[in-house]
Amino acid sequence: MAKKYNLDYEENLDISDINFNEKVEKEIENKNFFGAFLLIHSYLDSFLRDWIFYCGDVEYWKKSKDLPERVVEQVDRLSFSDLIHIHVTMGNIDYENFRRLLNFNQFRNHLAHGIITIKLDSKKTKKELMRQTSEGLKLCNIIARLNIKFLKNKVGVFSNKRR
Amino acid sequence: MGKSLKQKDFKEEKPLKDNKKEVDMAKSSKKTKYIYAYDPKIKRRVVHIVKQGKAISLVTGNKFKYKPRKKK
Repeated sequence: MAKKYNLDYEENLDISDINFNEKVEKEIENKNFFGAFLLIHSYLDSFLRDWIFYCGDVEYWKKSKDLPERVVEQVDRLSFSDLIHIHVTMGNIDYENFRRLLNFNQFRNHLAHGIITIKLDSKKTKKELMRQTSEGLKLCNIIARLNIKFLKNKVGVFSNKRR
Repeated sequence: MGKSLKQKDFKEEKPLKDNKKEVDMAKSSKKTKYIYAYDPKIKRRVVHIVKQGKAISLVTGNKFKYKPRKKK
């Protein structure tokens, strides 16, 4: 069972209204480079994770009452690395984007695991954070585009005849 | 910094004009809307497809009546 946190959520958010570019650029304007990097990493994680849920067939999910909940719980536990390996295996992303996502995640792990000794205020670190954030934005735009393309191809599956 | 990467990048590539089938598909997909909404079956916000005033969860197939949000 998923834990409940005290957060506000967007209700019925249109997928085309998700504007991660603006949010990340706002963080950069405020000179919060570390925050900008983590924000774009989180968006990528979220896009890739949600994508897994609707890759499958709804009819399959309907067969069991508790299966969807159990699967969602397990998918929530997957790491970013697991997610990109699943997507490249299923052919949702190509090898080039897979390699870029892997490198992007390696930097995130290096940063997160070594945060105690990394000088976040140094020019060198800020420059690298900016470079990686820019790469993250490019990747997130690619994933968002592929995601929408995938969704539009799936429209046929949800025809009224099947329901 | 990322100036070229705006919301327009979300838009799908234009279909080929000479391919009628693709054009028709694109026209019909223009009407299709996707939203993030709460799915009570899995207690999570997931992508729903909006069709004829109903939102259908792409994960469980759960349906609900959809009212568009008023943009601020």
